[in-house]
Amino acid sequence: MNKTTFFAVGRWVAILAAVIFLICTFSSGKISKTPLEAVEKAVLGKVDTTHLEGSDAQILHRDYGLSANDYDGFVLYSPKDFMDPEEILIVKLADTNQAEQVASAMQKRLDERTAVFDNGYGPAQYDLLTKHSVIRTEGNYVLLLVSENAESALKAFLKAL
Amino acid sequence: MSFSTLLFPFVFLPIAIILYYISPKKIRSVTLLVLSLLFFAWGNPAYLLLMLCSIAMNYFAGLELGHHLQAENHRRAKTVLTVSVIANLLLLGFFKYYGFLLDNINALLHLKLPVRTYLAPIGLSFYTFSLLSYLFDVYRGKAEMQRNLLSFSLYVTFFPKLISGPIMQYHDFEAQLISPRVNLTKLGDGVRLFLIGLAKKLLLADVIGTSFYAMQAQGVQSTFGAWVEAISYTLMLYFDFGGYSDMAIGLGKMLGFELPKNFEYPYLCSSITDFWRRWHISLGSWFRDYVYIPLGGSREGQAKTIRNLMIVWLLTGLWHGASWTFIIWGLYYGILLILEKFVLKKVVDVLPSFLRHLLTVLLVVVGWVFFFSGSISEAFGTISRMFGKGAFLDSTAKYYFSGCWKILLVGIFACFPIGARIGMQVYRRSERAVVLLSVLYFGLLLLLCIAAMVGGTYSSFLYFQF
Repeated sequence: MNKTTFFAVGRWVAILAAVIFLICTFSSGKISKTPLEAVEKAVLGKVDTTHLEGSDAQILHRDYGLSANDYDGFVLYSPKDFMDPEEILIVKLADTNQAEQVASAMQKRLDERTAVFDNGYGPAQYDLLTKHSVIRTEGNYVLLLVSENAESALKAFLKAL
Repeated sequence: MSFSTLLFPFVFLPIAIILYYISPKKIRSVTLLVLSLLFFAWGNPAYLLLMLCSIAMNYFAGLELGHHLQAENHRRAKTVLTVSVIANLLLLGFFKYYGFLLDNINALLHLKLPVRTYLAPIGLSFYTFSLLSYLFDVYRGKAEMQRNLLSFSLYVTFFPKLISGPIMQYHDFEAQLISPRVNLTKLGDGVRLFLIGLAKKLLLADVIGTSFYAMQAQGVQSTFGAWVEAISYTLMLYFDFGGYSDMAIGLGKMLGFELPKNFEYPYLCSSITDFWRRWHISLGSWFRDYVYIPLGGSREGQAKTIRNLMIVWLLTGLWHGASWTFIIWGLYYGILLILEKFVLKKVVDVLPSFLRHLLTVLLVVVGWVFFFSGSISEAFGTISRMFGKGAFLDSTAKYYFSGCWKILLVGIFACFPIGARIGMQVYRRSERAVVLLSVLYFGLLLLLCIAAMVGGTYSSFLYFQF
């Protein structure tokens, strides 16, 4: 095999490898096609929303420092009362590289809320925030849940994807 | 990984610098490549494989091209170039334009083809352009084929420029690959530039961004509000991307590389042509060298120049994103440049420079409305409000302006080179007191940036999305 044939083979092998990679990655279902509304419906179906109210992009930026424009979509349910610990945030990412940042923002929010109720100031709320909270990244979705039914809501979230 | 999160300046960067400096010269490139791949893979390692495939494909294509050219087999060289360019563009198109294309086919033909958008590897548009630059340079004889896979991989993945440029043309980077020069002066210069960029991002762009996003979420309904919103975005985008570019250039210097300037006080421009000599310089140079000039540039008469300009600006718009707003934004600049060059040249030339400057900045601000709007109708809604539709003032605009006018003034001041010139004068002096003052200033800047990183919330760089 002469040099140019070797290089041509190398080039085509690399192209083939890229195509195989793309097929494997995107047929694995890692990136969910489920619309955000369907994921929201599935999660809300498992959670008591009495203490929650729907929030907009401004609250998302205030509480999490995330700019709604950066993402494909989001659903935020914030506590009606400052003393309520429940909260739900679902972010549909525009790029999976955003996952780490979104999850960090969620963790920061969770830490801040936990600190509010620490030192016996709100033992029930502290308990809920530390024992019944979930931050989960699944492909192009990131979820934060603080709820009594966090576990079943998480299952519903995963099933919806 | 983002330059403006605590992880980068306090964990990744110090480790990278130490490892790089203590590595024997022979393996410095290896160290840098490993660090660059780690930086790329952070957060989404799956795309590392794709990046490696891309590198391999273009590396072999470069060698093949080089050998065909040496054997004076130009027809084969052209075939290799065409196939490789198409492969690179298909990869870019698959991630960036596939969804947009299907959406438009569905809308035009009233079809319901399933649309699935794919999340792009970070920096895809930037590194694809680097790869294309290499292929074109080898084909046109501007550079030798790169036999060293390590050097070639480093050119593509060099972490300071990987995610958002500056887009380095291969022939500019080639010489530096052989032996990057590191010394304490360069390291100091690099740290200074990095800090300035970090401050632009955290202390200006992110602060201005807070009120901009709040205004966007609320929806401003007045002329005054629309102007405040557009000016806020104008400043935020500059300090965000300009800050990123300063950081990238600074990081390059720390590692012994010289990256090209990406911004030169763009809002001091006196014409649209001048604006594009000062804004995202590396992208403009890329399109000039690899699209505009090969198409014939301005050498083949007025009609062809107009055609070439419109092609370049259509592509520039598309490069920024798969959306009609970006396409309109690109064409807007194409039309403005054509008007400036062929229709209004005599008028523009006799205008007082202050007026010329003011008009250009006004056109640039209007252009950014297409950039930040979610749809064309939204963009025209904002523009019509800017030019008098609706009330002059509303309570939302009043409220946000009262909160942000000071930072907007600081931002406008920072668009001028006065501060930087004074800073450079001080920085270059060697008297002890001046050096101390300089150290204190940068120390304070660092403290403020840390406070912003710790206390603030994460905000990604705007150009990451492209």
